[in-house]
Amino acid sequence: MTEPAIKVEGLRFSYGDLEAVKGISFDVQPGEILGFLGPNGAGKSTTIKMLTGQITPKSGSAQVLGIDVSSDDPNLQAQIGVCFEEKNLYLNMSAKENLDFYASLFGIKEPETMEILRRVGLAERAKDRVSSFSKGMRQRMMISRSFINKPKVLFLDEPTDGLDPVTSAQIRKTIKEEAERGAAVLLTTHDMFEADELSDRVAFINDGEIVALDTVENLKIKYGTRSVKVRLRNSEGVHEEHIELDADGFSARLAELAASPDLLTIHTEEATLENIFIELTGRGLE
Amino acid sequence: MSRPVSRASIIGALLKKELKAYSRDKVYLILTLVVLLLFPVMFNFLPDSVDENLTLAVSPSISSMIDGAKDTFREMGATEAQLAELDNADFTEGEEGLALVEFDDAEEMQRVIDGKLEAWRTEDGDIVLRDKEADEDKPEDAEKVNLDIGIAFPESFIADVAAEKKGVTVTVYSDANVPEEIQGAMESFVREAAYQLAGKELPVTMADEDSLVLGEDRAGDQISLKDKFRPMVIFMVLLMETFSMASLVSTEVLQRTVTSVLVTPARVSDFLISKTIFGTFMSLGQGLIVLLLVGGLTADNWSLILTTLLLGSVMFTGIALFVGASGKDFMGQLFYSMLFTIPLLIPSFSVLFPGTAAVWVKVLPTYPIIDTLVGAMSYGATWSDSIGSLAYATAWLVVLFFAGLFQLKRKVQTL
Amino acid sequence: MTPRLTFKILRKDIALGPRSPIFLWALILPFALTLILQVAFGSLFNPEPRLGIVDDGDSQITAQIEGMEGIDLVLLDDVEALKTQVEANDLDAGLVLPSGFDAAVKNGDRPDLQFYIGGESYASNRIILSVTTLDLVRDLEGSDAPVTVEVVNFGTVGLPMSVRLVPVIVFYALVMAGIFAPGSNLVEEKEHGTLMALLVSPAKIGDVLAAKWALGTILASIMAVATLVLNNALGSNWLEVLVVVLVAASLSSMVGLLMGTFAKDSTIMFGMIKGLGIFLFAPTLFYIFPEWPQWIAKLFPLYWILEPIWVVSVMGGSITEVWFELAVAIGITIALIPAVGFVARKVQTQMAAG
Repeated sequence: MTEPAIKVEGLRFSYGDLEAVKGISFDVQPGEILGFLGPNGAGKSTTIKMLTGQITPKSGSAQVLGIDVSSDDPNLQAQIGVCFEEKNLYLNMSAKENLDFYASLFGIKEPETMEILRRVGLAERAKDRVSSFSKGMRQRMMISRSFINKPKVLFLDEPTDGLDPVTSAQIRKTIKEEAERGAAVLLTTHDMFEADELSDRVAFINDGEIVALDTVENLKIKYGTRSVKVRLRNSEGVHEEHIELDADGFSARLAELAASPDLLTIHTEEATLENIFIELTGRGLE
Repeated sequence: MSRPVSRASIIGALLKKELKAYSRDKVYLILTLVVLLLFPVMFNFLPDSVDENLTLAVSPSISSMIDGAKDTFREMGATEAQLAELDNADFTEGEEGLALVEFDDAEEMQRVIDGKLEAWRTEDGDIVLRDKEADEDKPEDAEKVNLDIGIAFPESFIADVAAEKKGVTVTVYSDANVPEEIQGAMESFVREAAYQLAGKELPVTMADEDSLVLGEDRAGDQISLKDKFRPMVIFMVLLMETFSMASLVSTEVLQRTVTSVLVTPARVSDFLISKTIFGTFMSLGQGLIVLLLVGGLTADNWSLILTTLLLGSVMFTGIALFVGASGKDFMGQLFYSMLFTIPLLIPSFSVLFPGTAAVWVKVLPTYPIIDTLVGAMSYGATWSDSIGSLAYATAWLVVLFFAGLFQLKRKVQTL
Repeated sequence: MTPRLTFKILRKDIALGPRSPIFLWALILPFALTLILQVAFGSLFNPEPRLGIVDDGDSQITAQIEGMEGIDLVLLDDVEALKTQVEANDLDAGLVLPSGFDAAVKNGDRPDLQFYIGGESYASNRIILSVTTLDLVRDLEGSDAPVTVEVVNFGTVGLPMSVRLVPVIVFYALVMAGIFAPGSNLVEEKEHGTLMALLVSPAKIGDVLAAKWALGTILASIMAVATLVLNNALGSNWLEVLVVVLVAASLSSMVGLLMGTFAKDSTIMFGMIKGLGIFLFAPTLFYIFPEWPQWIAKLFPLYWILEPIWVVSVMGGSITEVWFELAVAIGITIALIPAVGFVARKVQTQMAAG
């Protein structure tokens, strides 16, 4: 088994008296996408800040590519890419200038700036100032900047937050490409669809603690319920009935409903990550 | 990719980015150009000489009063040779700072002082009168002479006083805006002239005039307003740069672009070093440009002035870092900028006032900078004269610069 | 426009005011400027000759100079200290009157007169101080002067610099409080997105602009009056003063509103104020230098608000003397309203487009 790209044990952080991260442990393999799923204020961004060297953990250990995150070793930053939640681009510089500048900080003499911009659909705006970009374009810039040094580990903090479905799909596609290239990806989101779509494994984080960590499939199997949703017409309009596959008398009831002249539709229902999250934590993802 | 990047190349990349950001900021680019052009242009309009004389109108002319007194002097036993000497005597000799304009007609002199007539001096030194009320044409190739005070002597003044006649009256005509001390001084001047003509020696003995003057005698060679402003203009350019630099630092902090830099191989120290180099370079560069435009460098003072400028540039960069890291938004940063720069400006204005600066002014960090610049440019101060001020400036520089670094580092690390 | 909504926005702005650095500056600046300009610069324009005296014998000369106007007298205890100050140009001249000096002069002993002159002192000051001193020494001797001197003054005494600087200080109060405060307040609302939030409520752009204008007018009025009081320039005709101040504040605030509507962000707003600074400031110079052709001042918009303040408050004149200036000021204020409206509509469209 290969050495994990990210290895975290008992990591803690507090903002004054408020303990934001309460002893979390996890690891991420090269080529894997781990989704950190949780509501605002759960500790997702704080975890990323610790792992990227922005803040120092209060206790516990964390290593990225074998480098202790507390050691302030520039070799760490040389091998990671970070996409922040907040847009922090140089607005007075063009898209290409922003990326070229970044590349120079990594010592990259001939950066593949145009190629990267092409990947995110910004090649035609390469010479335009970022101040003229829309929200979606700026987010694509943020993503592209995190790729500039072909990082071995990617930290993506809410990469598609507030974006339209088309842009979000584009960004998810590029994230998958990076994972296929071999980068370990730690992705934070409160969008269960995104977590479901992208992640190989998902960690539910709530109130600074990981409450569950497994593949999406296993989580659904373990915590979700299999059911069928049947819609029937009645005197008041439409009536829905949910029948659990594992409940007693399921087959008989299903047959009865299937034979009913009032039957409109039958759908199988899968457990959603949000439902699982609610079940585990008692609160939603928003 | 694990590619060791040298600190120098990271700092180089950051400096390139600083220059781009600065040159793209239209507001500060225009402000910089305005400062670099406007200050030297305004400087050129300042007067480069000092009129330290009291200009006094006198009627009748001294020569006519002397002529009128010759008979009296003959009766008193004066020889023709002595009378001839009187004709050649300059009665304003020894009275440096007094410029006489003679009028044959007392009535005309009154009208000039009253503002009804204007006195103009031609290139030949003659006085031509212009009737202002009749709106006569201004004389060509002539310079207006401001006459606010004049003395009307009786025709026989010298003769009467020499003969100790009683009841001699002299009238001093003055514009009401002439300060009281000048009016009083003219009265005293007339009385003392009379005492001298009457042969009454002073009731005190006076020391030799040369020993009366303490310090370098600059009479006739005073430091003009232009010379006084020269160090101030350069100092102001350094200070204005603080605003621009603080704004750039503030923008990086508020827009969080500094955070994006710190998740690359660049360290906080690289960030701070690049800001320091850039700020110092911009300040110093602009200071040098203005220095070349307004003059002041000589073969003797160039090293001292350049060193002082460098110290000033680093000091102001430190202040800019502090201010830029302090505001929560642009207006907040502007508030801090003004809060800091106004006290720092005070020493530069102290040079406009004669004498030593007050103790509380000398304590201000920018005082040694302006003091050294004034000393080197206006008084020919050397390195040994300025070493105390430079040491003091360096001490303040260390304090302010590291305060700025600390504040910015603290801000960056808590973002 | 709905007055009720305008008032609510105004109330919010006033409550938030003390948290804004610009608001604080608008409050502090008139005090700071009064101190700097009156104390420091007042003496720069009318420097008096400075004489230091070491008087060990309670000389009559010292008492007479103390009673004179126009000579800045400093009494010292030590001759060396006197000489040091003269040499350093802290004094133009220094006089030493040893014990028994007066008696010696009266007795005809012809004592030494220790009179020192500073090398950097102006020749005119040297003459003034030396002839004045000699005249006092003659007077001490008790001899009758051989002449009588009469002084005849022409014209009237002009205004002291401390009065001529008042328009400068009032100008800054009006600019900071009237132009900068509402302008930057509006720009900040745009930058922080709170303006958009207001505009999707029942409040319209007209309500917002009216509130900002009212904020500037109130603040500028208060600061202008405070400035006049600080500089002893508020006459007894306070009601007339209030009218001219209100007109001035209204125009300043309208200019600030136009700038705030036009500027996209704080940097641009600040740049505009700096760039237009001399254009706004120019008319104040004509009060400092009254000999300049006054018609030039009328070309600048702020002249039409400074002149009524000058005439009514500083000079104690009647409001009827400045009816024309007030009419022009009100006219300019009203003329700016459609300009503000036009720019505001443009900005609103830009903001909605994102």
